[in-house]
Order: sequence, then C-alpha cells, then structure tokens
Amino acid sequence: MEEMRSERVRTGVYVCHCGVNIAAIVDSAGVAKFASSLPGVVIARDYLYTCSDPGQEMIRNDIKEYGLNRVIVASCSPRMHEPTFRKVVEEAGLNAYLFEMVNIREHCSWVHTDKEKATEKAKDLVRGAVARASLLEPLERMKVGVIPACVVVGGGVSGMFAALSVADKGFKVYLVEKETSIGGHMAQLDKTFPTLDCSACILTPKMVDVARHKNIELITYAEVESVEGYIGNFKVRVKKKARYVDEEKCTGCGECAKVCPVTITNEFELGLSGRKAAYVPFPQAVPLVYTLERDRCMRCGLCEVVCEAEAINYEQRDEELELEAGVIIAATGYDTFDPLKKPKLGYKEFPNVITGLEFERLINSSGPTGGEIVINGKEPKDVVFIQCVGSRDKEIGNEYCSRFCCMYTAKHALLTREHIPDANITILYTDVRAFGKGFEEFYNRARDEGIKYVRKEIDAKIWTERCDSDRVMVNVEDSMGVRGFEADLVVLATGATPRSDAKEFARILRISQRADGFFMETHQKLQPVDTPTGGIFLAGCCQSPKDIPDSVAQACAAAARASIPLMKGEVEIEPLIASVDEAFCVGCRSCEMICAYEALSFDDKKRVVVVNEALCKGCGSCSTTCPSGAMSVKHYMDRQVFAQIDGLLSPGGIM
Amino acid sequence: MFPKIITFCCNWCAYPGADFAGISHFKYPVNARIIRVMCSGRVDPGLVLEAFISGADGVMVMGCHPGECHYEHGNYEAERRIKLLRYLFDKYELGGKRLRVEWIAASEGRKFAEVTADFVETVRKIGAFQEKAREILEVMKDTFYGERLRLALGAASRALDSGADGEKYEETLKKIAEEEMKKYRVLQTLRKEGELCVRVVAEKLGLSLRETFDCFLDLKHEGLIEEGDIGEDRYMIYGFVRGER
Repeated sequence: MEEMRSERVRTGVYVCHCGVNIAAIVDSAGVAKFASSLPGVVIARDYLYTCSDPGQEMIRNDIKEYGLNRVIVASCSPRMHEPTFRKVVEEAGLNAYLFEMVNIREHCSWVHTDKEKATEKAKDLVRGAVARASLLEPLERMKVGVIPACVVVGGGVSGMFAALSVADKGFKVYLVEKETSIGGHMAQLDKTFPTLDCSACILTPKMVDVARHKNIELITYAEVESVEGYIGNFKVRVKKKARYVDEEKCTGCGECAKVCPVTITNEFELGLSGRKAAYVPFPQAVPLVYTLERDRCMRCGLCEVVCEAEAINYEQRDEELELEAGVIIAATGYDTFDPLKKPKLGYKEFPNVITGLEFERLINSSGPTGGEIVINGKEPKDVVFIQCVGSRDKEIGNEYCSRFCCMYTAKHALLTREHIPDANITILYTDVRAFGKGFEEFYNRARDEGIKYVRKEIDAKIWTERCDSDRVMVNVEDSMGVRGFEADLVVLATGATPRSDAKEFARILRISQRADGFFMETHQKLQPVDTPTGGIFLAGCCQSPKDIPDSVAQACAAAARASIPLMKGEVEIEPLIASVDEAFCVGCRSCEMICAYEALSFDDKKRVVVVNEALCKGCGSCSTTCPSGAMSVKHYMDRQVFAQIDGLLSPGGIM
Repeated sequence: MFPKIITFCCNWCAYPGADFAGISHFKYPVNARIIRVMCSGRVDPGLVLEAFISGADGVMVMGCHPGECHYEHGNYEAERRIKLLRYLFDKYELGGKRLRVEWIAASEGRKFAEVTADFVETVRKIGAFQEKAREILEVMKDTFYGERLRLALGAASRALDSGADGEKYEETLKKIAEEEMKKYRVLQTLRKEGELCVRVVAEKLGLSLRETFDCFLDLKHEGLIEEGDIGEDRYMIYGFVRGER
C-alpha cells in the first residue's frame, strides 16, 4: 500500500453528453476542460456516449497510452453503469475500485434548468470525485461458493413456472406456498382471455408437473419468516403450519371431509359456498392432501375413525424449516382490490353487486352454482360491468392501471352472452386498453356480439341504489350528466393491489417497494426481474399487475437470471467491508456490540477485534462507533470521504 | 453559491430515491451536492462537521425509513448522532436547523425533491456562518472523535435494547457532549495560544475556575497537556503537548 501511495496519481476524466440528456443543460465540454486543470488529472475528455463501444475503447486506450491509474466517468447514476465502467478499466489492467463515477444526469441535468448553475454543480461534483479518487485503494473481490438451490416464494402461475424453469436446468428448488395448494389466482379463473382456454385445463397439468418434478420440493401451507445471508448463501427460515394430516400418508380420498360435521366458508369460492373443517380448497388441489382446520374443528374424532390411511394426526405441530439456497425468487402475487373501500358501489349491500373474481367462480362449472349465473334465485337479464374499480383511482391511492381488467371484463361479457343469449349487457369503461397480442381482436369480438360499451370519465361518480324489489340502479355522473342503468347483476372489475403483507415481506428480503406498494426492480427496462439485493429476483404480479402471458414470461426470465449464479457456482462479493488497524484497536469491543451481522469478534490472544469477511456487509456503523479510529470501511474511509467533501465545496471553507 | 448543501445518501433507499427524482425530472434547487455512502449509519458526525468546516451551510443525512434499513439499524444510529449534534448546534447558536435527518424510500423521488427544496430555503433563512463558527465547529469535531462520547454513543443501542430509559440516555449523552465540548475548548485555547494558567483560560472561555480546572485535570489525565510552572498569580500554568493528536 505504501508503494501505491508513493506512485503518482494519474487520473483520466470522461464527461459524457449522453446525447442531449446531459449536454442540453450541462456544458460537458466546459466541465472536461475544467477537470483537466485539477490536481493529478492528465487527460480529460468529453464524449457523446461514453458507455458506447467506442467510448469504452477510448478509456481503455487512454489507460495504456497515458498510464492512467485513476479513471472517473461523469455521466449517469452509478446504479446504472458503474459495473460497466468497472469492467472497462479492469480490461485495461486497472483495479476496478480505482474507478469513480459522478452522477451528472439523474442528480444534475435532469433536475435543474439553469444551465450555468448546473454546469457549476457538475464541476463541483467532478472536483469531489477527483479528490476522492486520488485516495482510493485497489481492492480484491472475494469469491464465494453458491449453494446450488433456489427458493421460490409463492406457488401461483408465476412461481410455478419460475420453479419449473430452474428445476429443469438441474437445480434444486424449494417452492414455498402460503395456501394448502399451489395454483394461485389462476386456479380460481374460469376461462382465460383472449383465447378462452379453460384456466384449470391448462393450469392443472402444470401443477402436477411441479409436484412430480424430481428437483422441486413443494412446501405448502408455509410462510417465510426470515431470510439471512447473501447471494450464494441464503438461509431461509420457513414456518410450515400443521395440517393435522400426514402429507405422506394422505391419499386424498376425501372420506374425512364427507364425515366432518363442521361447515364453514370456503375462501377459494370467495364465500359463495361452504366447505368442511377437513378440506381441500378445490378438487384438483396440489398436493392433494387434506387439511384439518383445528380452530374450527369440533374434535368429534370422526375423521380419524374413517381415515383408512391413518393420516389424521391431532398431535401434529407447526414445523420450523431452514432452507439453504443460493438465490431466491419472489413470486408472491397480488390481492384483489377490496370494493368495500368504495362503499357507494353497494358491494355487500346488494346481493346483485359482485366482484370480477366472484363472477369467475359463478360461471365456473366446478363452482358453487355449477356454472349457472344465478342472482337472487334467477337468471339476470340486465348485466352491467363497471371497469377500473380500485385502478386508475387517485382518490383511493391507486394511480396505476391493473392491466388485466379491461380484457377480463370483455371475457366476462362474452361468457355472459354465451350463457344468457338474450341478456342486455353494458360495460361502463374509462378507456379500453387492448394492448396485448390478440386483445384488440378480442375486444372487437365483444362489440360484435352486441355488448354495449358506454364511456364514463375517469373521475366519474358512480353509485348504486335499489330500484325495485331485487334490481339495482347504477348511476354515473360526469361531465356528460347523470345516467342510470338498471341491472339484475353488477360486476365490478376489481383491480390488483399489492399483497397486504408486501411491506413485511419486502423487509424480510431487504428489497424496496414502489410508492404504489409493488416490489421495485433494479431497472425498469434493463433489469426488470433483478432487485438491488444480489441473488433476489422478482416474478409476476408482486412486481406490478400483469396478465398470465406476461407473468409466465417474467417467471421464465427471473428463472434464467437466477440460474446464472447457480450455473457459475461462485459469485464475487463486493470487497467494501470493514477492516481493523490492529495498532490502534484498544479492544473495547464497541463495534462488536453495534454490528448487526456478528461479523466482528474479539481475538483473545491478540486482544483486538477481527473482521469475518464473509459476514461483513460493509455498512460502516462500526467505523462510526470506534472510539480509537482503528475501524474503517474500505472504499468509504474517513480520509476518502473528507477529500470528497473538500473537493465538492472548495474553493471555500468558512470565511 | 449560497447556501451550499451536502446531502449524505445511503446506497439502498435515499440514493435511488434521488435517482428516481432525476428519472422523473422533478426539479429542485441546484444547491445540494450528494455524497453516496453504503448506510446512513456510516455518517459519522465527524464527516458532517468536516462538511461544515469546509464551507457547507447545511447538511442532510438521508437513509431508509425506520424498520427498513438495509443493515437493520444504521438509520437509528445516524438519527441519534445527528440529533445530538443538532442539540449542540442550537446550544452554541449555530442553528440546529442546518442539520436534518430524512427518511427517503427508493420510490420517493418527489419527496426527495421537496425535502431538498425545503431544506435549501430553511438554510437560506438561517444565513451564512459567522466568523467564530469555525472554532466551535473544530471543537465539536474533537468532541465527536473523542473517546468518551464515542463510547457512550456506541453503547446506546445496546443499552436501549436492554431496557434503558431512552429520554434519560439522551440527557446523559447531552451532558457528556457538553462536558467534552468544554474540555476541548480548553485544549483548543492552549493549542492556539501556548502555555496558559487556569485563571486566564477560565476568563477567556467564560467558564468557572472549578470547571476549567476539571477540564485541565481530564486533559492532563489523557496526556494531552502537561503541567508547567506556577505563574505570578500563583495559578498553575499548563501547556499543550505537541505532536499529540
């Protein structure tokens, strides 16, 4: 290190135009010229697109030609291109950690309008980086092995496809599902748009594939409680709830449910029918294992008597599992919007008003009515569909479009036409968003079938009221006036919302949520299934509302991304970790107390604290705590940050 | 440019929050300069004071929302330290509002822009630092790099976790910080002016003889100053040990 310090600093500075993204506001050429006057800078250039091939080549050539030992690129966020440029300098033989990035796009040109002041700011930022870079030290990345296994959380269609794709590549997959069966929302659907495939017919064979796959271990009726570790070495603690039925022994014959005297609400049928305390949510459930709901069980013991497989086990307890995996895919799905949050719609007040998902169960031949649309004991004649319930609604805080309701409403309307040919069907829509493959054609087909599309404005007031003994009136008020629609059946096109426990799960995974509550990807366009937390990937509606084709495509993408570290077998870990200067450590162990990862321990022989490099995450709290100045965190050492501060603010100082 | 603002952003929430403001083109005043750190818990008050000494008029520390810190509790560590520093700023009439801790989620680009604009306005109203500020800021830096306060701050989270009274602990931290400030002001005076006796230092700093004497004893105990001769006024003369610190 001494040798390094004595070597003269030779810095190259590259100021990007990013087309006009930067150059329209910041005088990139002026900033480069300014940079060339800074201490240690031997070459400074501005360039149209520094990240382009010739831009990268320019940097590599300069490193060799000018003998550069520090490189600074002033362009976009380091969260975007720091890895790109680190690779560039490495290819030219320079240590990646002698590269420093300056963010003059997201933090400057895109947020300021005064060209002169923005250019001054860009100069300050570059001066800070030049000062900091002169004190950077080369660091070596650590390599750690990758446990060749993947935990997929959520067994809906996204989780299933993610699991199958990783498992097909030959890696172990633990698929953790909260409910007693996999299948998710798709298992509840009747037909699927725009092809009108039967949902169960296409889904259930896949559910069986998941269960039979030799590389997939299905863990149902289980929830993730905590995640520790890092990419390559996660420890996932899972609580597997007691079913009071031995999964190995249960044959799924259903004798227990037949004799069970307790009838309770069936959540899978959204309360439209009942089920027993001993139950499977639906006949095609996977695994086909019954569950005994002990909270509601009368303890009559009949199930145990009739179970020939002797699978009933009243003594079963919740189990704590610890799974070890190299990567994690979150596929936790969505909740449907609760229309009680818009009480004027009359949901639950009038039996005529139901949600889209309830309609799916109503028209499903294995549903509570055997596929007959029946409301108040008779077939409805006037059917009104209301779109955008809980979507595109700033008032209730959901500004986003849920993406699948326009099409599922068109599907509902077509299926209603099929069941009740003379029905009078009206769709109250805001905009018909028919953007997917075959969607526009599907929408046209609905119009051709005589379904009336009536436009309402996005902020229209909608309320329902009783109009005669068993019908309701749907009222719409917007700039076109007040209009009323009498209906026997009103179907609310409820949108998607983040899972009610999304925040808690984001905390467990240490990932972020967008303002709308859906999980945040690293980059919406270029890293749409990655998260900033290495080794954790996103699939399906937990990231944003999407339909089945998009969910499946994204699940396969997440699986492909997650398989990269699994296939490589090792990953590089950022070397930005704590280090102890043993000469200064007084052994007070303050840092050991503050460390959240037990990465610091006291060496009894040396009487100093030592760092476990594999456990340290590099937060730097120990450095802030150390009373003797012995503890520092690499790449963010006091003197490096001091230099940056001085560079950002000089010429100056008080007075 | 006045006011100059340094904003420390953690890598996981606040920095992407600032990026998100950029991607969304939410405008805010040009005064803020962002420094990226891995965690707000890395923001030592020493770094904050260095920023003020180097010419910043205001410093913001931005981290993840409570309960969402990427490193469990770094944001609480930051908040505790900055709160204490803010207290001292008010006590020494430097304007505690020059310092702010904010929680910014990765999605809160708008909040980032709004908070920055508001902070720039706040600092603009407080105005520039006065001449005497630099000396006090340097004493504060010594105080926050001093062993006693660092040990007390370092023990805080464990003490609070094991049931210590939060308010009481905060009061203790304030008391320690004030005592340390006095001690380092005495040291600064000796460092600047050479050998002085207790009485002269007490008069210069407006402290009582008793508390000044205590400071001398502490500094002597820590090996930072040494005793000299007895002065004409029969008070002991002390000098700063050169080469220390």
